Amino acid sequence: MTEYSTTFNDIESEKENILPLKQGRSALHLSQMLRQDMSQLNSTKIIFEKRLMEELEEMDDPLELYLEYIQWINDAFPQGGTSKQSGMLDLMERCLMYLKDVDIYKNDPRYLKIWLWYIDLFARGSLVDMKDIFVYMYRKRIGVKLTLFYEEFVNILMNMKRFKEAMFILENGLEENARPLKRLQKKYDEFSERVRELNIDLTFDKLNCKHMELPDLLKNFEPPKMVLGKERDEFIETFQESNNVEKLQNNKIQIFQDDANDSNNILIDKNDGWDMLNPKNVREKENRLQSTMLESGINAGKLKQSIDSIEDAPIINSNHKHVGKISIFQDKIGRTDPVYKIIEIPGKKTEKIDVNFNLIYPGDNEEYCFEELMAISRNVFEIRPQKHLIMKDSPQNKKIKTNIEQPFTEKDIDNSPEIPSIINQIGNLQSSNSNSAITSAPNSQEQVENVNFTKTSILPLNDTGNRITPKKENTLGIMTANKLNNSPTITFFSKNAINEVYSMFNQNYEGPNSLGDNDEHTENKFALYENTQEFTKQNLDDLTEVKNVAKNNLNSQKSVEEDTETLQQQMKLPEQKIETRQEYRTSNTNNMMTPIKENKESFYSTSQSSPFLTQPNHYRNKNLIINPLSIELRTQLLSKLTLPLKSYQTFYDYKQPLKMSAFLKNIHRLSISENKNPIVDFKKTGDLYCIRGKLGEGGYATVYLAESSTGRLNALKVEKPASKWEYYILKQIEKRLKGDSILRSIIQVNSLHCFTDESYLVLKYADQGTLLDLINHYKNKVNQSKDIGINEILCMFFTVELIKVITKLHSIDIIHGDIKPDNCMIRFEKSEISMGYKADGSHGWNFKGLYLIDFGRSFDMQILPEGTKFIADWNFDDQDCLEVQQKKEWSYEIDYFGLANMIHYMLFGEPISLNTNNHGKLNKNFKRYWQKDNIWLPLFEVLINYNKVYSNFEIERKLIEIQKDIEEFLISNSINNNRFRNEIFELENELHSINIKI
Amino acid sequence: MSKGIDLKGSTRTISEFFEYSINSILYQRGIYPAEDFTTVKKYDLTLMRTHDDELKQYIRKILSQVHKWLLSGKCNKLVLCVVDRDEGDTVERWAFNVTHISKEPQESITEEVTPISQEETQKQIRALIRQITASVTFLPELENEGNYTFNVLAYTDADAIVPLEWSDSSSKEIEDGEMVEFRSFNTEMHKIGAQVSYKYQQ
Repeated sequence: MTEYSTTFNDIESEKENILPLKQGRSALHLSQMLRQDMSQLNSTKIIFEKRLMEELEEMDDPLELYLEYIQWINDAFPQGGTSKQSGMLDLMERCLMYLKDVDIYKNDPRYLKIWLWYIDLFARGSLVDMKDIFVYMYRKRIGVKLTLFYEEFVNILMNMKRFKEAMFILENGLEENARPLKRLQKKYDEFSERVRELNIDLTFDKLNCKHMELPDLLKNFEPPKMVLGKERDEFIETFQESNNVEKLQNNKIQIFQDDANDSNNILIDKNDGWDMLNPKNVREKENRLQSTMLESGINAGKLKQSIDSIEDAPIINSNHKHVGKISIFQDKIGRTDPVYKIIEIPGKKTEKIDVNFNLIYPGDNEEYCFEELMAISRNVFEIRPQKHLIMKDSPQNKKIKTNIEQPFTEKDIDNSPEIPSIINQIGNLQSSNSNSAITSAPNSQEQVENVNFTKTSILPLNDTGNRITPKKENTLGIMTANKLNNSPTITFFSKNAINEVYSMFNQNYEGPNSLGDNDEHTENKFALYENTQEFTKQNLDDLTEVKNVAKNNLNSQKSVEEDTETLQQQMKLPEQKIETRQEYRTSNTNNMMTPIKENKESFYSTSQSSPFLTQPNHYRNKNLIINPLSIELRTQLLSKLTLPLKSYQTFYDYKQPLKMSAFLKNIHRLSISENKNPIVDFKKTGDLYCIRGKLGEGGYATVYLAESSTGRLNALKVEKPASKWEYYILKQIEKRLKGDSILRSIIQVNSLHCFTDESYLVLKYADQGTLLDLINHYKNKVNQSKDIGINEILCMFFTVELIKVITKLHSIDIIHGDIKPDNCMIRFEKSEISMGYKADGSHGWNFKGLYLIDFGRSFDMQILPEGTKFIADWNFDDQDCLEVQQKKEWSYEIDYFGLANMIHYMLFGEPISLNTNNHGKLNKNFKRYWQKDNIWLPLFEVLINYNKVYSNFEIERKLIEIQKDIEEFLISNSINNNRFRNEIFELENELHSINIKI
Repeated sequence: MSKGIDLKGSTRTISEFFEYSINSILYQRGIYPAEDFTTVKKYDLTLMRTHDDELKQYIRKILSQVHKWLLSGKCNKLVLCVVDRDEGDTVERWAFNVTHISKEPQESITEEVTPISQEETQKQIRALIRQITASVTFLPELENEGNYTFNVLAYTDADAIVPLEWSDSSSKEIEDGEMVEFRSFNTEMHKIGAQVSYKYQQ
C-alpha cells in the first residue's frame, strides 16, 4: 500500500498556526495547503461557492458538498475554523440551516457531526448557549436517533450540573433506541454511577414526564433567536435587528407560559418562533459580556434578576403568544445577601472584607467581638435592667409569654458602663435592620419595646452601695457576667465556657412568670452558670479554678477546705442580704404573681422567715412530732429555712412536670429489647443523662445508673412525688462537716432537678455495691446462707467507720434514720494501703470504707425545736428500734439501733432479732473466737440500750470508746501480717466483677 | 577497539532514546494517566517519564532485549503501536527504523561517514523529540483515556535469538492511514528515523 508520507518539516514551520482538531488532520493536506498562498485559497473558495450554488439542489447528497467544503476550509485555514478569515462559521451555519428541515439528514451522523462541530467551535464559551443549541436540535428532532447526540448533550448538562435533565435526556435516548444503543446504555450507566457518587437525589417524577413532555429545562426556556425563513441568498445579507436579545443569560427567573394549544405539541415543528436559529453574530453581539462559567476571582457583578424594560423583552414572532412574565419571589426571610465591607485605601488594593462591619462597629467607639455579637443575636448578652423596671415591664412581658422562644430575659446587672450602649445598640440594630441576624423577625417588635424600655433606666442603680453584696452573693453566678465584662472573649475550651454556652441555649426555659419573681429567679440564674461537677476531691479542685476566676475578693486556695468554706460563705451571705431583698419583695408583691401556697411542693413564702415553726397542727406538744416523715412537715421545714433551697448552687427547680419516671421504670425492657437507653435532659444545666440501668428500687424512689454527656457516671435517684428533702440534708451535711474527712464516708450529692411531679437527685455513683451485697457475696462464696457473715476483722473495720460517721452526723444534729446494710455502699477507692491498719486514715486507709447513702428518712434537728422527739407512725418490724416498736419517743436512738442491726448483719448475715423475753438480748450466739466480750457485747449493749441507762451523750461517749478499742485491735492484728490488707484487695477485685451488670 | 566502544556507546544512546521517546509518547497520547509521570531532564529538554513500577519494568525489559539485538546488529526497526482496547486495532503506529551505518558499506557513500559528535547527536535528538511533541497538531485526539494500550514490535533478522517472552506478530500497520515522517538523527554508528502513521477520518 502506498503511503504518501508527509515530511513534518514541511508542516513544522507553521505548527503554531495549526489548530489541532479533535479528529486530527490530514498531514498530507496540511502540507499541501501550506504550500498554497492566499490567492490560491481564494480561488478554491470561489469554486466551492459556485458549486454550492449550482449543484446543491440537484445533488443526491448535498451534505457531501458541504462536507467537502468544510474540510477544505479546515485544511486551508489550519489556524482554526473560528477565524473569520476562514469563513467557517458562515459556511457551517449555512449548511446547518439548509438541511435542518430535511428529514433524511436529521439522523445522519455526518450532519450531526457538523452540528457538534459547530457547537464546539462557536458556542464553546457558554454552556448555556451550547445547551440551547442542543435543545433546539432536540426539538427539531435532529440527531435524536443517534447516541452521539445524547452523549454530547448530556455532557453539557452534566457540566451545568443539571442532572435531572441529563437523566431525562438519556432516558429519552434509550426510548428512541438511538444507535449505537449499547454505547448509549453504557453512557447511561456511567451517568448513574456518577450521580450516585455525587449523592445527587434525582427524585424525578417519572409519571409526569412522558415521552412528549419536557422538563422545565426544555419547556420553559427561550428559544434562540429566530430569523424568519429566508431564501438562501437573502440569508447572507439581512439579519433581523434585535437589541439586547440575549436573555439567555438572564433566564433565571423569567418564565413564559406556553401557548395552551401548543402544549401538547411541543416537539412538533412549528413555523413560528422555534424555527430558526439566528446566526451566531446576531445571537451574540460582539463586545457583549458572554455568560461564562464562573470561576473564582471573576467579578460576577450584580445578579440580574429581572428584565428592566419592555425593550428588553425578547422579540418573538408575532404568532407566538407573548404572555406576561410570571413574577417569582425569592425567599429571603431571615436571609440577606452577604454583607461585606469594601475598604479603599489609596495606594493599596481595594480590600473586600467578608464581614458585616455594621455589626462590629455599630456606633462610634463601639466594637463588639464575634462572641458578643453571637450573644447579642441570641439575646443572651448580659443585660440587667433594674428591678423596679421589671415590674413595670411585666405586663408587657406577659404579652410575650406565649412565645416559647422568649428571647429576652432580664438578667443580673453587669456593672459596666458599656452596657447601656450595648442595649442601645441592640435596639438600634433591631429596629433598623429587619433582616439582621441578630434577632428573629417575629420578636423584633416586642423586643424593641423591651429594649427601649430598659435602656432608660440602667444608670440609676449603678451606685456602689449596691454593688458589694451582689458581687459577693453572685460570685459563682456572676462569673460569666464578669467574664463578659472583663474579657469579652470567652475561651471556649474551659468547663466554664462550655457551661456558659450550654446556659445560653438552655436558660430561656422558664416562662415569663419568672420575670416577676425577680429575686428568686436571679438566684436560680446563678445555678445556671455553675459547674455541675460532683464534689469529689478532684472536681473540687476544678471548682477552685472556677471560683478563682469568678471571685476577686475571696482568696482562693487550692484545698478542699477553702472551697467548701467559700461555698458556705456564699450560702451564708444571702442571709445578710435578706433584709434588703425582702424589702424589694414586699414592694413587688402587688405586681408579682402570688406564690401558690396550696401546692405542697411550693415553698415560696412571703412571710418573714423564722426558724421556728408555729404550726400547731403538727404537734401534740411543741416538741413531739407524730408523723415525722410526713411531706407536709418537710415542706414546712424547708420553707422556713433561713437559706432557702433555691440559693443552693446545684438546686434546680422546674415549674413543670417531667413525667419520665414511669417511663424510666421500664428501663430494663427498653434497653434490653430495643437497645435504647432513655435520655433525661435537664434543661437547666444542659446535662443530658443517658440511663444505663436500674441500680435499685425502693418505696418511693428508684435509682438509676446515668451516664452524663461527658461520660461521667452518676446515680440518679428518681422520686415521685418530688422530694427535696434528701438533697437538703446532704447539702447541710456537706456544709456542716466542711473539711472533715468523714465526708468521704457520706455519699456526695451532685444536684437536684426538681419538677412538679418528680425529682431527680444526681448522686455520686458508687460501683462496688452495698454492704448487703457484700454479705450476700460472702454467703455465696461459702455456699451457705445461714450463720455466715463477713469475716470479723472486716466487720470491725466497717463498724469503726460506721461509728465514726454516725457520731459525726449526730454531732451536727443530723439523724440518718435508716441505717441498714442496703444503705451502705462499699467504698474501696483506688489506693494503696499499708500493711498495718491506721486508725487516722493515713497510709491510704481513709480510702477504704463505706458510703452512707439514702437520707430519705433523715432529720435535721437544727431546724426543729430543741429536744424534739418523734413518734413513729409507720408499721414497724424487727429491724426497727425498740422505741419505734413500742411506740415510744425517739430521736437519735434510731441510728444506734440501726447500727446494731448493721453489725449484727455483718456478723451473722441476718438482721437483728431480740429476745424480748430476755431483756432484749441477742438471739444469736457469737463465735467462740470472736472478740465477744471485749468488743461486741459491749457494743451491742450500748447501741441497743434496752435498759435505757445511757443518755445520748453518754452513748456517744461510750461508742467512741469502743471505737478506739476496735481500732486498737485492728492495729495490733494487722501490724505484722497482710491478711487484712490482702482481703481488702481481694474484695476489690471481686466486687469489680460482681458489680451490677447493666 | 574504538569501534567497539563506539558501538557500545552508540547503542546505549539509541536504547536511551527509545526509552525516553516511548515514555513521551505514552504520556502525550494519554495512554497512561498524567499522574503516572514525573518530569526528567534529558537532552536539555524536560521530558516525562513514568514512575509506575510495573510499567517501568516492562519497558526496561523490552529495551534491554532490544539493546542486545542492537549490539549484535540484529534489530532494524522498533515500532510502538497504540492499540484500542475494545476493538483491538491499532490507531497509531510510531516506527523508529535503525540503520547500522557500518553494516552497509555501499551506502556509506551517501550516508554520513564522518563520525558524529555527541553534541550533534543530542541536538538532532532534541529536534526529533520536539517534532514528536508537535505532532499533536495533526494527530487525532485519542478519546477515552485509559482505553488504549500499547505494543512494542521489533523487526529482527531471521537469525536473531528471540527469547520466549517475545512472540511473533503481524506488522499491525494502519490501513489507509496518513504517515508523517520526522527528522532523523545519527549517532556514531547508527542512523535513526522516525515516522508516525495514523488514521485520519473526516
